[in-house]
Amino acid sequence: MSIGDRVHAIRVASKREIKSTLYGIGIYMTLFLVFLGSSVPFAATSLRNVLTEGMWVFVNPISTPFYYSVILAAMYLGLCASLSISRDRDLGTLEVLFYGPVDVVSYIGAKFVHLILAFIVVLAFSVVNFLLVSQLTNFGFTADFFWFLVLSLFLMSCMASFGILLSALTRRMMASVIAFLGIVLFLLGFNLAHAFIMGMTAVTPFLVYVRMILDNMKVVIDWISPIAYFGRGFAAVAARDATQFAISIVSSIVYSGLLLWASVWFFKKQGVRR
Amino acid sequence: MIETIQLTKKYGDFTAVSDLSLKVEKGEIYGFLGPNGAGKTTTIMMLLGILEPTSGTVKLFGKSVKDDYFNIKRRIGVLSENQYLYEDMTALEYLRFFGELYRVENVDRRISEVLGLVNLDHRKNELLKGYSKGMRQKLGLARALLHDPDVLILDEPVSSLDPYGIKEVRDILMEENRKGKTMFISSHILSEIERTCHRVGILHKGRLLAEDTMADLKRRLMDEVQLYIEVESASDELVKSLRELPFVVSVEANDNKLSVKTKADRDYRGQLSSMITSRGGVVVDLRRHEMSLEEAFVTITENNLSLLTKEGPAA
Repeated sequence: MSIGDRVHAIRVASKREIKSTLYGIGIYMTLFLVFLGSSVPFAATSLRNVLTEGMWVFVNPISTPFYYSVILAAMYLGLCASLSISRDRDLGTLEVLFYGPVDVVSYIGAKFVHLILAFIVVLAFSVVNFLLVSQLTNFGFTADFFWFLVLSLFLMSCMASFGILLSALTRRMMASVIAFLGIVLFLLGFNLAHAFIMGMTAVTPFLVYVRMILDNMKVVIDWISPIAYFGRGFAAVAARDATQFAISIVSSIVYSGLLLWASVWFFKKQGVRR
Repeated sequence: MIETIQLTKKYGDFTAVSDLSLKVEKGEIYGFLGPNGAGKTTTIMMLLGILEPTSGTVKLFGKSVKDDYFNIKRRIGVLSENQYLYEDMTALEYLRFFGELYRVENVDRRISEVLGLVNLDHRKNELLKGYSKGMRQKLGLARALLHDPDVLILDEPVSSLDPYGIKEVRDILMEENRKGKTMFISSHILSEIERTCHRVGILHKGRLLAEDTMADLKRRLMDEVQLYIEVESASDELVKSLRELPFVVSVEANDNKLSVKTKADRDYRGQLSSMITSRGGVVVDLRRHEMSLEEAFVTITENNLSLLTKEGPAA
Protein backbone atom coordinates (compact mmCIF):
# COMPACT_ATOMS: atom_id res chain seq x y z
CA MET A 1 0.00 0.00 0.00
CA SER A 2 1.41 3.35 -0.98
CA ILE A 3 1.03 6.18 1.54
CA GLY A 4 1.02 8.65 -1.36
CA ASP A 5 -1.99 6.89 -2.92
CA ARG A 6 -3.84 6.95 0.38
CA VAL A 7 -3.08 10.62 0.98
CA HIS A 8 -4.26 11.41 -2.56
CA ALA A 9 -7.53 9.51 -2.01
CA ILE A 10 -8.08 11.27 1.34
CA ARG A 11 -7.42 14.66 -0.25
CA VAL A 12 -9.77 14.15 -3.19
CA ALA A 13 -12.60 12.52 -1.23
CA SER A 14 -12.50 15.05 1.62
CA LYS A 15 -12.40 17.92 -0.90
CA ARG A 16 -15.63 16.66 -2.46
CA GLU A 17 -17.26 16.39 0.95
CA ILE A 18 -16.19 19.81 2.19
CA LYS A 19 -17.45 21.38 -1.04
CA SER A 20 -20.75 19.65 -0.56
CA THR A 21 -20.90 20.91 3.05
CA LEU A 22 -20.02 24.49 2.10
CA TYR A 23 -22.58 24.58 -0.73
CA GLY A 24 -25.27 23.12 1.53
CA ILE A 25 -27.46 25.10 3.90
CA GLY A 26 -27.00 22.79 6.93
CA ILE A 27 -23.74 24.26 8.20
CA TYR A 28 -25.01 27.86 8.00
CA MET A 29 -28.26 26.99 9.75
CA THR A 30 -26.19 25.32 12.44
CA LEU A 31 -23.91 28.32 12.77
CA PHE A 32 -26.92 30.58 13.18
CA LEU A 33 -28.49 28.30 15.78
CA VAL A 34 -25.16 27.83 17.57
CA PHE A 35 -24.58 31.58 17.88
CA LEU A 36 -28.14 32.16 18.92
CA GLY A 37 -28.08 29.28 21.37
CA SER A 38 -24.79 30.29 22.96
CA SER A 39 -25.20 34.09 22.94
CA VAL A 40 -28.81 34.72 23.93
CA PRO A 41 -28.78 32.84 27.27
CA PHE A 42 -25.37 34.40 28.05
CA ALA A 43 -26.56 37.91 27.21
CA ALA A 44 -29.79 37.39 29.15
CA THR A 45 -27.92 36.13 32.24
CA SER A 46 -25.39 38.98 32.03
CA LEU A 47 -28.08 41.63 31.66
CA ARG A 48 -30.11 40.16 34.52
CA ASN A 49 -27.02 40.15 36.74
CA VAL A 50 -26.12 43.69 35.79
CA LEU A 51 -29.68 44.85 36.39
CA THR A 52 -29.93 43.15 39.78
CA GLU A 53 -26.37 43.62 41.03
CA GLY A 54 -25.57 46.90 39.31
CA MET A 55 -22.20 45.50 38.33
CA TRP A 56 -21.00 42.08 37.33
CA VAL A 57 -17.42 40.86 37.45
CA PHE A 58 -16.61 38.19 34.91
CA VAL A 59 -13.26 36.61 34.02
CA ASN A 60 -12.92 35.69 30.34
CA PRO A 61 -16.43 36.86 29.42
CA ILE A 62 -16.21 35.47 25.88
CA SER A 63 -15.07 32.01 26.99
CA THR A 64 -18.37 30.64 28.28
CA PRO A 65 -20.46 31.40 25.15
CA PHE A 66 -17.51 30.22 23.05
CA TYR A 67 -17.39 26.98 25.06
CA TYR A 68 -21.06 26.31 24.39
CA SER A 69 -20.92 27.33 20.75
CA VAL A 70 -17.98 24.98 20.18
CA ILE A 71 -19.75 22.12 21.97
CA LEU A 72 -22.96 22.66 19.97
CA ALA A 73 -21.09 22.87 16.65
CA ALA A 74 -19.05 19.77 17.51
CA MET A 75 -22.24 17.91 18.41
CA TYR A 76 -23.82 18.86 15.09
CA LEU A 77 -20.72 17.70 13.21
CA GLY A 78 -20.59 14.60 15.40
CA LEU A 79 -24.12 13.82 14.27
CA CYS A 80 -22.99 14.38 10.66
CA ALA A 81 -20.07 12.02 11.35
CA SER A 82 -22.40 9.36 12.71
CA LEU A 83 -24.39 9.58 9.46
CA SER A 84 -21.41 9.79 7.15
CA ILE A 85 -20.72 6.12 6.39
CA SER A 86 -24.25 4.77 6.80
CA ARG A 87 -25.59 7.50 4.45
CA ASP A 88 -23.02 6.60 1.78
CA ARG A 89 -23.89 2.93 2.24
CA ASP A 90 -27.64 3.63 2.11
CA LEU A 91 -27.25 5.71 -1.07
CA GLY A 92 -24.94 3.13 -2.65
CA THR A 93 -22.24 5.72 -3.36
CA LEU A 94 -19.91 3.91 -0.95
CA GLU A 95 -19.74 0.89 -3.25
CA VAL A 96 -18.98 3.04 -6.31
CA LEU A 97 -16.15 4.76 -4.46
CA PHE A 98 -14.60 1.39 -3.64
CA TYR A 99 -14.61 0.34 -7.29
CA GLY A 100 -11.78 2.84 -7.60
CA PRO A 101 -8.51 3.63 -5.83
CA VAL A 102 -10.00 4.11 -2.36
CA ASP A 103 -9.43 1.71 0.52
CA VAL A 104 -10.96 1.56 4.00
CA VAL A 105 -8.20 3.58 5.66
CA SER A 106 -8.33 6.37 3.06
CA TYR A 107 -12.13 6.42 3.17
CA ILE A 108 -12.27 6.75 6.97
CA GLY A 109 -9.39 9.24 6.79
CA ALA A 110 -11.31 11.36 4.27
CA LYS A 111 -14.39 11.39 6.52
CA PHE A 112 -12.25 12.53 9.44
CA VAL A 113 -10.42 15.23 7.49
CA HIS A 114 -13.70 16.53 6.08
CA LEU A 115 -15.18 16.93 9.56
CA ILE A 116 -12.09 18.70 10.88
CA LEU A 117 -12.12 21.05 7.86
CA ALA A 118 -15.83 21.74 8.36
CA PHE A 119 -15.12 22.52 11.99
CA ILE A 120 -12.32 24.92 11.03
CA VAL A 121 -14.87 26.76 8.87
CA VAL A 122 -17.21 26.90 11.88
CA LEU A 123 -14.34 28.13 14.05
CA ALA A 124 -13.51 30.86 11.56
CA PHE A 125 -17.11 32.09 11.67
CA SER A 126 -17.06 31.80 15.48
CA VAL A 127 -13.95 33.94 15.78
CA VAL A 128 -15.52 36.59 13.55
CA ASN A 129 -18.72 36.41 15.56
CA PHE A 130 -16.96 36.79 18.90
CA LEU A 131 -14.74 39.56 17.55
CA LEU A 132 -17.91 41.43 16.64
CA VAL A 133 -19.39 40.70 20.07
CA SER A 134 -16.17 41.95 21.62
CA GLN A 135 -16.30 45.16 19.57
CA LEU A 136 -19.96 45.75 20.42
CA THR A 137 -19.72 44.96 24.14
CA ASN A 138 -16.13 45.92 24.91
CA PHE A 139 -15.63 42.44 26.39
CA GLY A 140 -11.97 41.75 25.82
CA PHE A 141 -10.22 38.72 24.46
CA THR A 142 -7.53 37.09 26.54
CA ALA A 143 -4.72 34.76 25.50
CA ASP A 144 -6.86 31.90 26.84
CA PHE A 145 -9.14 32.32 23.87
CA PHE A 146 -6.33 31.18 21.58
CA TRP A 147 -5.81 28.04 23.70
CA PHE A 148 -9.55 27.35 23.64
CA LEU A 149 -9.38 27.53 19.87
CA VAL A 150 -6.55 24.99 19.78
CA LEU A 151 -8.36 22.79 22.28
CA SER A 152 -11.59 22.88 20.31
CA LEU A 153 -9.85 21.23 17.35
CA PHE A 154 -9.07 18.27 19.58
CA LEU A 155 -12.65 18.23 20.83
CA MET A 156 -13.74 17.98 17.21
CA SER A 157 -11.20 15.25 16.61
CA CYS A 158 -12.74 13.22 19.47
CA MET A 159 -16.29 13.99 18.38
CA ALA A 160 -15.56 13.14 14.71
CA SER A 161 -13.92 9.81 15.54
CA PHE A 162 -16.75 9.01 17.97
CA GLY A 163 -19.37 9.72 15.26
CA ILE A 164 -17.43 7.83 12.59
CA LEU A 165 -17.18 4.80 14.88
CA LEU A 166 -20.96 4.82 15.42
CA SER A 167 -21.46 5.12 11.67
CA ALA A 168 -19.11 2.20 11.04
CA LEU A 169 -21.01 0.13 13.60
CA THR A 170 -24.46 0.75 12.14
CA ARG A 171 -25.69 -0.15 8.66
CA ARG A 172 -28.63 2.26 8.31
CA MET A 173 -28.86 6.03 8.68
CA MET A 174 -31.76 5.82 11.12
CA ALA A 175 -29.82 3.44 13.35
CA SER A 176 -26.84 5.82 13.28
CA VAL A 177 -28.97 8.82 14.33
CA ILE A 178 -30.66 6.86 17.09
CA ALA A 179 -27.31 5.55 18.37
CA PHE A 180 -25.69 9.00 18.35
CA LEU A 181 -28.58 10.85 19.95
CA GLY A 182 -29.15 8.03 22.44
CA ILE A 183 -25.54 8.07 23.62
CA VAL A 184 -25.27 11.88 23.72
CA LEU A 185 -28.54 12.18 25.64
CA PHE A 186 -27.41 9.48 28.06
CA LEU A 187 -24.10 11.31 28.65
CA LEU A 188 -25.84 14.65 29.17
CA GLY A 189 -28.47 13.07 31.39
CA PHE A 190 -25.81 11.30 33.41
CA ASN A 191 -23.82 14.52 33.93
CA LEU A 192 -26.94 16.42 34.97
CA ALA A 193 -27.96 13.64 37.36
CA HIS A 194 -24.42 13.47 38.74
CA ALA A 195 -24.26 17.23 39.31
CA PHE A 196 -27.72 17.24 40.90
CA ILE A 197 -27.02 14.36 43.28
CA MET A 198 -23.59 15.72 44.23
CA GLY A 199 -25.24 19.05 44.99
CA MET A 200 -27.83 17.59 47.36
CA THR A 201 -27.32 18.73 50.92
CA ALA A 202 -29.28 16.09 52.83
CA VAL A 203 -26.89 13.18 53.24
CA THR A 204 -28.29 9.71 53.88
CA PRO A 205 -26.48 6.35 53.74
CA PHE A 206 -28.39 5.55 50.56
CA LEU A 207 -27.32 8.84 48.95
CA VAL A 208 -23.70 8.19 49.88
CA TYR A 209 -23.96 4.81 48.21
CA VAL A 210 -25.54 6.32 45.08
CA ARG A 211 -22.88 9.04 44.98
CA MET A 212 -20.16 6.42 45.18
CA ILE A 213 -21.65 4.47 42.29
CA LEU A 214 -22.13 7.63 40.20
CA ASP A 215 -18.59 8.81 40.90
CA ASN A 216 -17.17 5.49 39.75
CA MET A 217 -19.37 5.57 36.68
CA LYS A 218 -18.25 9.12 35.96
CA VAL A 219 -14.61 8.08 35.95
CA VAL A 220 -15.38 5.57 33.20
CA ILE A 221 -17.76 7.84 31.30
CA ASP A 222 -15.25 10.69 31.31
CA TRP A 223 -12.93 8.48 29.29
CA ILE A 224 -15.70 7.50 26.89
CA SER A 225 -17.42 10.84 26.36
CA PRO A 226 -15.72 12.98 23.70
CA ILE A 227 -16.97 16.15 25.37
CA ALA A 228 -15.25 15.25 28.64
CA TYR A 229 -11.86 15.56 26.92
CA PHE A 230 -12.66 19.15 26.00
CA GLY A 231 -13.97 19.82 29.51
CA ARG A 232 -10.67 18.68 31.04
CA GLY A 233 -8.66 20.84 28.67
CA PHE A 234 -10.96 23.82 29.21
CA ALA A 235 -10.52 23.48 32.98
CA ALA A 236 -6.74 23.21 32.50
CA VAL A 237 -6.64 26.46 30.50
CA ALA A 238 -8.80 28.22 33.07
CA ALA A 239 -6.48 26.97 35.81
CA ARG A 240 -3.38 27.87 33.74
CA ASP A 241 -2.18 24.29 34.13
CA ALA A 242 0.09 23.54 31.17
CA THR A 243 0.65 19.90 32.18
CA GLN A 244 -3.06 19.10 32.38
CA PHE A 245 -3.57 20.97 29.11
CA ALA A 246 -0.91 18.83 27.41
CA ILE A 247 -2.38 15.65 28.96
CA SER A 248 -5.85 16.55 27.66
CA ILE A 249 -4.47 17.07 24.15
CA VAL A 250 -2.42 13.85 24.15
CA SER A 251 -5.36 11.87 25.55
CA SER A 252 -7.63 13.37 22.85
CA ILE A 253 -5.17 12.22 20.19
CA VAL A 254 -5.00 8.72 21.66
CA TYR A 255 -8.82 8.59 21.99
CA SER A 256 -9.28 9.69 18.36
CA GLY A 257 -6.65 7.26 17.09
CA LEU A 258 -8.20 4.31 18.94
CA LEU A 259 -11.71 5.11 17.75
CA LEU A 260 -10.59 5.56 14.14
CA TRP A 261 -8.72 2.28 14.29
CA ALA A 262 -11.86 0.60 15.67
CA SER A 263 -13.89 2.28 12.88
CA VAL A 264 -11.62 0.74 10.23
CA TRP A 265 -11.99 -2.65 11.88
CA PHE A 266 -15.80 -2.50 12.14
CA PHE A 267 -16.12 -1.01 8.65
CA LYS A 268 -14.27 -4.02 7.24
CA LYS A 269 -16.70 -6.29 9.09
CA GLN A 270 -19.76 -4.42 7.78
CA GLY A 271 -18.53 -4.17 4.19
CA VAL A 272 -19.35 -1.53 1.60
CA ARG A 273 -22.47 -3.03 0.06
CA ARG A 274 -25.98 -1.78 0.79
CA MET B 1 -5.93 -10.49 -17.14
CA ILE B 2 -8.59 -11.91 -14.82
CA GLU B 3 -8.19 -15.21 -13.07
CA THR B 4 -10.04 -16.90 -10.24
CA ILE B 5 -8.75 -20.11 -8.70
CA GLN B 6 -11.20 -22.24 -6.73
CA LEU B 7 -12.97 -19.13 -5.54
CA THR B 8 -15.58 -19.78 -2.88
CA LYS B 9 -17.83 -17.48 -0.90
CA LYS B 10 -19.98 -18.80 1.91
CA TYR B 11 -22.48 -16.99 4.12
CA GLY B 12 -22.98 -19.35 7.02
CA ASP B 13 -24.33 -22.56 5.53
CA PHE B 14 -25.22 -20.91 2.23
CA THR B 15 -22.62 -21.16 -0.53
CA ALA B 16 -22.96 -18.20 -2.89
CA VAL B 17 -20.00 -19.13 -5.09
CA SER B 18 -18.41 -22.55 -5.12
CA ASP B 19 -14.95 -23.48 -6.40
CA LEU B 20 -15.07 -21.01 -9.27
CA SER B 21 -12.06 -21.19 -11.56
CA LEU B 22 -12.05 -19.05 -14.67
CA LYS B 23 -9.59 -17.13 -16.78
CA VAL B 24 -10.16 -14.16 -19.04
CA GLU B 25 -7.38 -13.43 -21.51
CA LYS B 26 -6.18 -10.02 -22.70
CA GLY B 27 -8.46 -8.46 -25.31
CA GLU B 28 -11.23 -10.97 -24.69
CA ILE B 29 -14.90 -10.19 -24.04
CA TYR B 30 -16.13 -12.68 -21.50
CA GLY B 31 -19.85 -13.05 -20.88
CA PHE B 32 -20.77 -14.11 -17.39
CA LEU B 33 -24.27 -15.55 -17.32
CA GLY B 34 -26.52 -16.97 -14.71
CA PRO B 35 -30.04 -16.71 -13.36
CA ASN B 36 -30.84 -14.32 -10.50
CA GLY B 37 -29.03 -15.37 -7.34
CA ALA B 38 -26.51 -17.49 -9.23
CA GLY B 39 -23.60 -15.65 -7.61
CA LYS B 40 -22.58 -13.33 -10.46
CA THR B 41 -22.50 -10.09 -8.48
CA THR B 42 -20.83 -11.84 -5.53
CA THR B 43 -18.12 -12.99 -7.95
CA ILE B 44 -17.70 -9.46 -9.33
CA MET B 45 -17.44 -8.06 -5.79
CA MET B 46 -14.71 -10.60 -5.02
CA LEU B 47 -12.89 -9.69 -8.25
CA LEU B 48 -12.91 -6.06 -7.11
CA GLY B 49 -11.66 -6.90 -3.63
CA ILE B 50 -14.90 -5.54 -2.14
CA LEU B 51 -15.90 -8.95 -0.76
CA GLU B 52 -13.39 -11.20 0.90
CA PRO B 53 -13.56 -14.77 -0.47
CA THR B 54 -14.04 -17.60 2.01
CA SER B 55 -11.36 -19.49 0.11
CA GLY B 56 -9.62 -19.37 -3.24
CA THR B 57 -7.72 -16.68 -5.08
CA VAL B 58 -8.47 -13.77 -7.38
CA LYS B 59 -5.78 -12.45 -9.66
CA LEU B 60 -5.98 -9.33 -11.78
CA PHE B 61 -3.08 -8.62 -14.12
CA GLY B 62 -1.36 -11.61 -12.52
CA LYS B 63 -1.45 -10.15 -9.02
CA SER B 64 -3.71 -10.37 -6.02
CA VAL B 65 -5.69 -7.12 -5.54
CA LYS B 66 -4.28 -6.85 -2.01
CA ASP B 67 -0.71 -6.90 -3.32
CA ASP B 68 -1.04 -3.81 -5.48
CA TYR B 69 -4.43 -2.39 -4.47
CA PHE B 70 -4.27 1.17 -5.79
CA ASN B 71 -2.49 0.44 -9.07
CA ILE B 72 -4.83 -2.45 -9.88
CA LYS B 73 -7.90 -0.36 -9.06
CA ARG B 74 -6.67 2.39 -11.39
CA ARG B 75 -6.50 -0.15 -14.24
CA ILE B 76 -10.10 -1.34 -13.86
CA GLY B 77 -13.30 0.38 -14.94
CA VAL B 78 -16.49 -0.81 -13.29
CA LEU B 79 -20.10 -0.27 -14.23
CA SER B 80 -22.65 -1.66 -11.82
CA GLU B 81 -26.26 -2.55 -12.52
CA ASN B 82 -27.64 0.32 -10.43
CA GLN B 83 -26.13 3.75 -10.69
CA TYR B 84 -25.57 5.36 -7.33
CA LEU B 85 -24.64 8.96 -8.00
CA TYR B 86 -23.95 12.06 -5.95
CA GLU B 87 -27.29 13.72 -6.66
CA ASP B 88 -26.09 17.21 -5.70
CA MET B 89 -23.43 17.18 -8.43
CA THR B 90 -23.59 17.88 -12.14
CA ALA B 91 -22.25 15.29 -14.58
CA LEU B 92 -19.21 17.47 -15.10
CA GLU B 93 -18.48 17.76 -11.37
CA TYR B 94 -19.10 14.04 -10.90
CA LEU B 95 -16.62 13.06 -13.60
CA ARG B 96 -14.10 15.66 -12.43
CA PHE B 97 -14.22 14.11 -8.98
CA PHE B 98 -13.56 10.62 -10.32
CA GLY B 99 -11.01 11.98 -12.80
CA GLU B 100 -9.05 13.48 -9.94
CA LEU B 101 -9.43 10.32 -7.85
CA TYR B 102 -8.03 8.19 -10.70
CA ARG B 103 -5.36 10.85 -11.47
CA VAL B 104 -6.57 11.29 -15.06
CA GLU B 105 -4.35 13.62 -17.09
CA ASN B 106 -6.01 16.42 -19.11
CA VAL B 107 -9.16 15.57 -17.24
CA ASP B 108 -11.45 18.16 -18.88
CA ARG B 109 -10.52 17.00 -22.37
CA ARG B 110 -11.08 13.37 -21.37
CA ILE B 111 -14.43 14.21 -19.73
CA SER B 112 -15.50 15.90 -22.95
CA GLU B 113 -14.50 12.75 -24.88
CA VAL B 114 -16.37 10.27 -22.70
CA LEU B 115 -19.45 12.48 -22.39
CA GLY B 116 -19.43 12.79 -26.18
CA LEU B 117 -19.20 8.99 -26.45
CA VAL B 118 -22.31 8.45 -24.37
CA ASN B 119 -24.13 11.43 -25.84
CA LEU B 120 -24.44 13.38 -22.61
CA ASP B 121 -22.22 16.32 -23.49
CA HIS B 122 -25.20 18.66 -23.78
CA ARG B 123 -26.50 17.66 -20.30
CA LYS B 124 -23.18 17.93 -18.47
CA ASN B 125 -24.16 20.96 -16.38
CA GLU B 126 -27.44 19.50 -15.12
CA LEU B 127 -27.76 18.14 -11.59
CA LEU B 128 -27.67 14.35 -11.51
CA LYS B 129 -30.87 14.13 -9.47
CA GLY B 130 -32.69 15.09 -12.68
CA TYR B 131 -31.12 12.31 -14.75
CA SER B 132 -33.27 9.46 -16.07
CA LYS B 133 -32.34 5.82 -15.46
CA GLY B 134 -30.89 5.48 -18.95
CA MET B 135 -28.84 8.68 -18.59
CA ARG B 136 -27.51 7.45 -15.26
CA GLN B 137 -26.47 4.19 -16.87
CA LYS B 138 -24.63 6.06 -19.61
CA LEU B 139 -22.95 8.36 -17.10
CA GLY B 140 -21.86 5.25 -15.18
CA LEU B 141 -20.27 3.96 -18.37
CA ALA B 142 -18.57 7.34 -18.90
CA ARG B 143 -17.15 7.08 -15.38
CA ALA B 144 -15.97 3.53 -16.02
CA LEU B 145 -14.19 4.62 -19.21
CA LEU B 146 -12.87 7.95 -17.91
CA HIS B 147 -9.44 6.71 -16.80
CA ASP B 148 -8.99 4.54 -19.91
CA PRO B 149 -8.76 1.27 -17.97
CA ASP B 150 -7.26 -1.95 -19.32
CA VAL B 151 -10.11 -4.06 -17.97
CA LEU B 152 -13.82 -3.25 -17.90
CA ILE B 153 -16.04 -5.11 -15.47
CA LEU B 154 -19.65 -4.51 -16.41
CA ASP B 155 -22.64 -5.71 -14.43
CA GLU B 156 -25.81 -5.51 -16.56
CA PRO B 157 -24.48 -2.62 -18.67
CA VAL B 158 -27.59 -2.19 -20.82
CA SER B 159 -30.36 -3.19 -18.44
CA SER B 160 -31.86 0.32 -18.15
CA LEU B 161 -31.44 1.36 -21.76
CA ASP B 162 -33.87 1.67 -24.66
CA PRO B 163 -32.98 -0.05 -27.97
CA TYR B 164 -31.09 3.05 -29.22
CA GLY B 165 -29.16 3.22 -25.97
CA ILE B 166 -28.37 -0.49 -26.13
CA LYS B 167 -26.95 -0.11 -29.62
CA GLU B 168 -25.00 2.98 -28.58
CA VAL B 169 -23.44 1.17 -25.62
CA ARG B 170 -22.78 -1.98 -27.66
CA ASP B 171 -20.94 0.07 -30.28
CA ILE B 172 -18.88 1.81 -27.59
CA LEU B 173 -17.94 -1.50 -25.99
CA MET B 174 -17.00 -3.08 -29.31
CA GLU B 175 -14.85 -0.06 -30.15
CA GLU B 176 -13.14 -0.17 -26.77
CA ASN B 177 -12.49 -3.89 -27.28
CA ARG B 178 -10.96 -3.14 -30.68
CA LYS B 179 -8.62 -0.76 -28.87
CA GLY B 180 -7.51 -3.71 -26.73
CA LYS B 181 -9.65 -3.54 -23.62
CA THR B 182 -10.53 -6.78 -21.87
CA MET B 183 -14.14 -7.03 -20.76
CA PHE B 184 -15.99 -9.09 -18.22
CA ILE B 185 -19.72 -8.66 -18.78
CA SER B 186 -22.47 -9.99 -16.60
CA SER B 187 -25.89 -9.69 -18.20
CA HIS B 188 -29.37 -11.11 -18.40
CA ILE B 189 -29.83 -9.83 -21.93
CA LEU B 190 -28.57 -12.96 -23.63
CA SER B 191 -28.94 -11.60 -27.15
CA GLU B 192 -26.45 -8.86 -26.24
CA ILE B 193 -24.02 -11.37 -24.78
CA GLU B 194 -24.36 -13.49 -27.89
CA ARG B 195 -23.57 -10.51 -30.10
CA THR B 196 -20.64 -9.15 -28.15
CA CYS B 197 -18.86 -11.90 -26.24
CA HIS B 198 -16.06 -14.14 -27.43
CA ARG B 199 -16.55 -16.62 -24.62
CA VAL B 200 -19.22 -17.20 -22.02
CA GLY B 201 -19.32 -18.78 -18.62
CA ILE B 202 -22.61 -19.98 -17.18
CA LEU B 203 -22.98 -19.86 -13.43
CA HIS B 204 -25.81 -21.64 -11.63
CA LYS B 205 -26.26 -21.89 -7.87
CA GLY B 206 -22.70 -20.65 -7.41
CA ARG B 207 -21.16 -23.29 -9.68
CA LEU B 208 -19.67 -22.66 -13.09
CA LEU B 209 -21.50 -25.14 -15.31
CA ALA B 210 -20.13 -24.20 -18.69
CA GLU B 211 -17.36 -22.08 -20.16
CA ASP B 212 -16.68 -22.00 -23.87
CA THR B 213 -16.97 -20.05 -27.09
CA MET B 214 -20.53 -19.54 -28.25
CA ALA B 215 -20.17 -21.97 -31.18
CA ASP B 216 -18.59 -24.75 -29.15
CA LEU B 217 -21.06 -24.36 -26.33
CA LYS B 218 -23.99 -24.81 -28.71
CA ARG B 219 -22.32 -27.68 -30.53
CA ARG B 220 -21.73 -29.53 -27.28
CA LEU B 221 -25.33 -29.08 -26.23
CA MET B 222 -26.82 -30.44 -29.41
CA ASP B 223 -26.99 -34.23 -29.97
CA GLU B 224 -28.63 -33.67 -33.33
CA VAL B 225 -28.57 -30.91 -35.91
CA GLN B 226 -31.74 -29.71 -37.57
CA LEU B 227 -31.39 -28.77 -41.25
CA TYR B 228 -34.02 -27.16 -43.46
CA ILE B 229 -33.54 -27.98 -47.14
CA GLU B 230 -35.64 -26.58 -49.97
CA VAL B 231 -35.34 -28.49 -53.24
CA GLU B 232 -36.99 -27.93 -56.65
CA SER B 233 -38.80 -31.22 -56.30
CA ALA B 234 -38.82 -33.63 -53.36
CA SER B 235 -39.51 -37.06 -54.87
CA ASP B 236 -40.23 -40.11 -52.68
CA GLU B 237 -37.05 -41.65 -54.04
CA LEU B 238 -34.97 -38.68 -52.87
CA VAL B 239 -36.51 -38.79 -49.41
CA LYS B 240 -35.89 -42.53 -49.21
CA SER B 241 -32.24 -42.08 -50.23
CA LEU B 242 -31.76 -39.40 -47.59
CA ARG B 243 -33.22 -41.63 -44.88
CA GLU B 244 -30.74 -44.35 -45.81
CA LEU B 245 -27.73 -42.16 -45.14
CA PRO B 246 -25.91 -43.38 -41.98
CA PHE B 247 -25.64 -39.91 -40.38
CA VAL B 248 -29.27 -38.97 -40.99
CA VAL B 249 -31.54 -39.47 -37.98
CA SER B 250 -34.88 -38.53 -39.57
CA VAL B 251 -36.38 -36.85 -42.64
CA GLU B 252 -39.73 -35.13 -42.93
CA ALA B 253 -41.01 -33.88 -46.25
CA ASN B 254 -43.56 -31.15 -46.82
CA ASP B 255 -43.97 -30.46 -50.57
CA ASN B 256 -40.53 -29.42 -51.70
CA LYS B 257 -39.30 -28.59 -48.17
CA LEU B 258 -37.36 -31.15 -46.19
CA SER B 259 -36.63 -31.13 -42.51
CA VAL B 260 -33.57 -33.31 -41.91
CA LYS B 261 -32.05 -34.22 -38.58
CA THR B 262 -28.44 -35.37 -38.64
CA LYS B 263 -25.94 -36.42 -36.01
CA ALA B 264 -24.12 -33.49 -34.42
CA ASP B 265 -20.61 -34.97 -34.56
CA ARG B 266 -19.77 -32.95 -37.71
CA ASP B 267 -21.22 -30.69 -40.39
CA TYR B 268 -23.01 -32.86 -43.00
CA ARG B 269 -24.42 -30.09 -45.16
CA GLY B 270 -21.90 -30.62 -47.96
CA GLN B 271 -22.57 -34.35 -48.16
CA LEU B 272 -26.32 -33.81 -48.17
CA SER B 273 -26.09 -31.23 -50.93
CA SER B 274 -23.85 -33.50 -53.07
CA MET B 275 -26.16 -36.46 -52.55
CA ILE B 276 -29.25 -34.48 -53.61
CA THR B 277 -27.45 -33.15 -56.70
CA SER B 278 -26.24 -36.69 -57.62
CA ARG B 279 -29.87 -37.85 -57.54
CA GLY B 280 -30.76 -35.08 -60.01
CA GLY B 281 -32.24 -32.77 -57.42
CA VAL B 282 -31.58 -29.05 -57.15
CA VAL B 283 -30.96 -27.44 -53.74
CA VAL B 284 -32.70 -24.05 -53.58
CA ASP B 285 -31.98 -23.33 -49.93
CA LEU B 286 -30.14 -25.09 -47.11
CA ARG B 287 -30.20 -23.72 -43.58
CA ARG B 288 -29.11 -25.04 -40.22
CA HIS B 289 -31.21 -24.28 -37.18
CA GLU B 290 -28.88 -22.42 -34.80
CA MET B 291 -29.39 -22.93 -31.11
CA SER B 292 -29.69 -19.52 -29.49
CA LEU B 293 -27.73 -18.66 -26.37
CA GLU B 294 -31.07 -18.43 -24.64
CA GLU B 295 -31.86 -22.05 -25.51
CA ALA B 296 -28.37 -23.11 -24.44
CA PHE B 297 -28.67 -21.16 -21.20
CA VAL B 298 -32.05 -22.66 -20.35
CA THR B 299 -30.88 -26.18 -21.26
CA ILE B 300 -27.81 -25.89 -19.04
CA THR B 301 -29.36 -24.21 -16.04
CA GLU B 302 -32.67 -26.12 -16.03
CA ASN B 303 -30.90 -29.46 -16.24
CA ASN B 304 -27.94 -28.32 -14.10
CA LEU B 305 -25.66 -29.66 -16.83
CA SER B 306 -21.95 -29.34 -16.31
CA LEU B 307 -20.08 -28.79 -19.57
CA LEU B 308 -16.74 -28.17 -17.98
CA THR B 309 -15.31 -31.47 -19.20
CA LYS B 310 -14.25 -31.23 -22.86
CA GLU B 311 -15.87 -34.59 -23.72
CA GLY B 312 -19.40 -33.29 -23.73
CA PRO B 313 -22.47 -32.86 -21.58
CA ALA B 314 -22.49 -34.66 -18.28
CA ALA B 315 -25.06 -34.28 -15.60
